[in-house]
Amino acid sequence: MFKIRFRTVRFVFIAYIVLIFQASLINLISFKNCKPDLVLLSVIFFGLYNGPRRGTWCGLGLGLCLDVLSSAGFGVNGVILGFIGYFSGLLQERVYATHFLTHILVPFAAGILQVFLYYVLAANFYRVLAISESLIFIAGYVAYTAAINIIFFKILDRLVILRTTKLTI
Amino acid sequence: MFKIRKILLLLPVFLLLLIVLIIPPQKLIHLKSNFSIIFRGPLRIAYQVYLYAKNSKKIFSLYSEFQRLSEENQSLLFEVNQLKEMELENLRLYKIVDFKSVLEYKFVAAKVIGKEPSNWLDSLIIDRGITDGIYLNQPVMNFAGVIGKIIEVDTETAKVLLISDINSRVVVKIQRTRQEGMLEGLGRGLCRLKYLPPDAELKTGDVVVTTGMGGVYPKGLVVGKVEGVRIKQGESYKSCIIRPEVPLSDIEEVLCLKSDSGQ
Repeated sequence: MFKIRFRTVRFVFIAYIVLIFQASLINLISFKNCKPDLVLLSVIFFGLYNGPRRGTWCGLGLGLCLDVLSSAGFGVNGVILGFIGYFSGLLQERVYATHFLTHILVPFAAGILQVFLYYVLAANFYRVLAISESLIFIAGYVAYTAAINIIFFKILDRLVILRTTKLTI
Repeated sequence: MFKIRKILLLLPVFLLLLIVLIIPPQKLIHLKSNFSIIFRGPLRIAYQVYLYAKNSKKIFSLYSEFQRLSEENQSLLFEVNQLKEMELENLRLYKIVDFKSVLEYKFVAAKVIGKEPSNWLDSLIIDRGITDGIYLNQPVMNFAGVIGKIIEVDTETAKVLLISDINSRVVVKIQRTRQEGMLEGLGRGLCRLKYLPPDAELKTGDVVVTTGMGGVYPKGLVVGKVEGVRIKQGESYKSCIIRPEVPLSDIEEVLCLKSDSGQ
């Protein structure tokens, strides 16, 4: 006999859909080759609602899956999103997860942290574009991702946080 | 105590970081390839939906596009006839001078089933792998020009590093002036041609082709066109922005060039 947390199963399913979406349909809403990072937003969402432990694992898992789809070195996104999941989880008791400003400011800060970690980590393995050359792009990416989050958090909120159900098999 | 427990939660992340730093990325590629199977099917469907949604936007401009293409078709047919003559003449000359022909390459056609999910790299996932004869560093193009090369391959899929990726390097030359330079990716669908002589004569619209050096891309494949010339102070060479001939954000099918020798 084992228990399945219905919410966890649902989250895994949603995370899978988000990953598929990020590698295909997200390009429909890309603006000047800049696309919002729904995987990052999912990690922040899960961290904010479930604390640092689950946030970290969720970030690690989603990051490694992202690495599989990406041409980046294996583990790079895992480490970056692991950190972001952890820090989002730490905010659980410090911010109102449902507040409008949280939905904008946390992804904005996380986006900046993601870019910083990416530049620190990825530069070890392959060439990265000089920050001076991509500053406008980075600013646009962070702002766009934060803006998209207003809708995205609402969708995830309805899909994931409805209730916690325990199934006994 | 409480704080230490919280910091310990980061232990798996640091472990992964250690693994990433110690093990060379090339050794982890096989691991990536094995896991890619869980995304293959749904990704293929999602990408078809993306293409359908993208193309449906164009439906309103189809009639005017049809008329324009019909006119273009007429002039192209005339050009094709002229080129056929030139090809035959070329083949005759090749035989006379015993030149190694470019025509020894064959193609493997592949469909794009996914794109790079992050904003920082430019790559594609295609639906052909080792079983179809795809191998590492295989050049990828379509009828318009060069797209990139294979950087990861598993049994049924492969990843293509686009020429616009920051890590891509191709030795090219300006078709008109024959001056050589190094083409590197600039991200977001653009490239930069560097190390041109300071006196290089460049014009917007100049065609850039591969030189055949480096052993990956055969000679004479169209890469792109010069878009803007940049002269930076303090640099001993000229550089310019190149727009790839193939619109890299709209690729649906690609051709993987296969040499007769296999790899």
